[in-house]
Amino acid sequence: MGKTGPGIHLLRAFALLALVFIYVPIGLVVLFSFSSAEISVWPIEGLTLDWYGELFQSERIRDAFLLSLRVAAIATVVAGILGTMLGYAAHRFAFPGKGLLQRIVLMPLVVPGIVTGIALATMFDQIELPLSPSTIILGHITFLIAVFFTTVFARLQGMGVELERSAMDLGASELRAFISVVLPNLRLTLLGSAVIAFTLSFDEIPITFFLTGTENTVPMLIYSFLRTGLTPTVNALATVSLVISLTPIILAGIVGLHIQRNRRAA
Amino acid sequence: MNSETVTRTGTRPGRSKRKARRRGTLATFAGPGFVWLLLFILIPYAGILVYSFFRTDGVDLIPAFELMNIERVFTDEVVRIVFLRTLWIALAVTALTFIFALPLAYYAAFYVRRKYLFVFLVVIPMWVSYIIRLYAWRLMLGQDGVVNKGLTGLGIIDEPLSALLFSPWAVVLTLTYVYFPFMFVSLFSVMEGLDRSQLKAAADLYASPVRRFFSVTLPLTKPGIAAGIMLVFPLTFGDYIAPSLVGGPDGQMFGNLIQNQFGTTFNYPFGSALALTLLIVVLVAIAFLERWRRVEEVKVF
Repeated sequence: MGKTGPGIHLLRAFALLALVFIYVPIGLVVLFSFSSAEISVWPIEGLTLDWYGELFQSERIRDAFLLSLRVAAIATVVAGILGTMLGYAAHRFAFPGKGLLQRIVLMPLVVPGIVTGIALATMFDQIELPLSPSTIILGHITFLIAVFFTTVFARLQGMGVELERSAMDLGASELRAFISVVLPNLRLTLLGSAVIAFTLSFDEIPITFFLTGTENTVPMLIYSFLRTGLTPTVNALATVSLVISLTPIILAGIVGLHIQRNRRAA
Repeated sequence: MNSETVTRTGTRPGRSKRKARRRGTLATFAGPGFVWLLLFILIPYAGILVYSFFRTDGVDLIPAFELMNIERVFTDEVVRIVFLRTLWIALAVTALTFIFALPLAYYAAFYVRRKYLFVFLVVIPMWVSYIIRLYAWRLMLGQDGVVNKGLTGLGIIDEPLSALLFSPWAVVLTLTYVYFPFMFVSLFSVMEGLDRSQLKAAADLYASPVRRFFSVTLPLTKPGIAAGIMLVFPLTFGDYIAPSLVGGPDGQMFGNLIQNQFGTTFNYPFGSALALTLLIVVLVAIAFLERWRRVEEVKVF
């Protein structure tokens, strides 16, 4: 493909504009979090760190952060175990209804969150399980299983069954072969999926909305701030939460780019 | 190498025994996941189906088999208006994400040297919390927001526009921003994998790059287009957070209708019937797109 012609300049200009469109709104939130004015209006008159101070003093906000981290950590671990085992089963064994199973696993990712949310909320209501952090965790595990299942299954299909076969030929049991041969090969996949799962859980709102009792996660807290009235603290809260969700992804991305470059160099 | 030919000491279990053991292993690995999917996906979704036929008495659910709720979905004036609005918003967002992502994906796939870095830069916002991206647009579109200040500053308008926020248009703009990375990734991953020699042949056949793009590159990208629509359309159609934050009364969507049945009026059966409708719309759209994608593949090769 040639790199000539007037079209390329147009494309480049468009790409530049697109990046502006992508980053200006988010950048604005970060910028306003340092603005000394009580209301977030343009232009910014002075700078302050007061809103971050308020952030760390607010018990409500601290509780929300702790809850979000707890939910994301537990849900990622449990979904990781269930999803990996299910992905391995789908890869290793033929059983009736396998195709259907693969579709069902993906349902919570395909179906709009509101449907999954009310479906779970109604069920919890019927079995008289009060909404609490536990119900949020149950909901998050349910949609995160799909993340691990898909990535693990894809990775195993790419690997083939030779490795486990050889291990079993050498006398290892299925379980032993899984633990000492399959799992080590899944390390990167699992790490990547865990990053994705953690971030998805930390930011999730459409399902969480219906499963929240009295304790709010960070996104739910921001949502309620947006519904009831804005304080400049929201900017600081959003900025901190942005850093938490972006850090693992950016680290994973840098590692990924590195691998990409090494592969090309090799 | 396979296990039948390997000689090793110790007894080798018989065929049926081995089969039984395999079944045991399968149960160990798939069992917990199965139970989970049954308890937290199948039963709850089935619940929605069942409740659609129930009645309410105050806030109590009365088991019944009535078509009243389903009927109301089809006859209620408000449902009709909101459904059509949701449909056009979802179609508009899908179209806009496509128009926006297409040149960008094309540029990334064919003209950027460090393409993975570029893709990375484009998709980073996908990992910024959904709610923060919504909030960002509240700041952008508000009365004293950047857009109004910019427009008045440039002399395009005299007074700040109050209608920027809290309208269906605000929902369209915000959701386009929120969901376009999905479209971009879908298009890019297909375009990137296109056979370069085929495109080069096309370059020799067609005079202009524009014709080459529309006659060869774009049709070959169809699986990516289908995948992108498959992601963006359902996500938009089922969204209820964005309309509740930037939509205003005229921007409420189908999801908000469902939300109201569970939050304000506590009419679970009617809410379930609405949710079922949403589910069907989304699944039909996905099935249709899957077919479309496959038919195209047959045509191309």
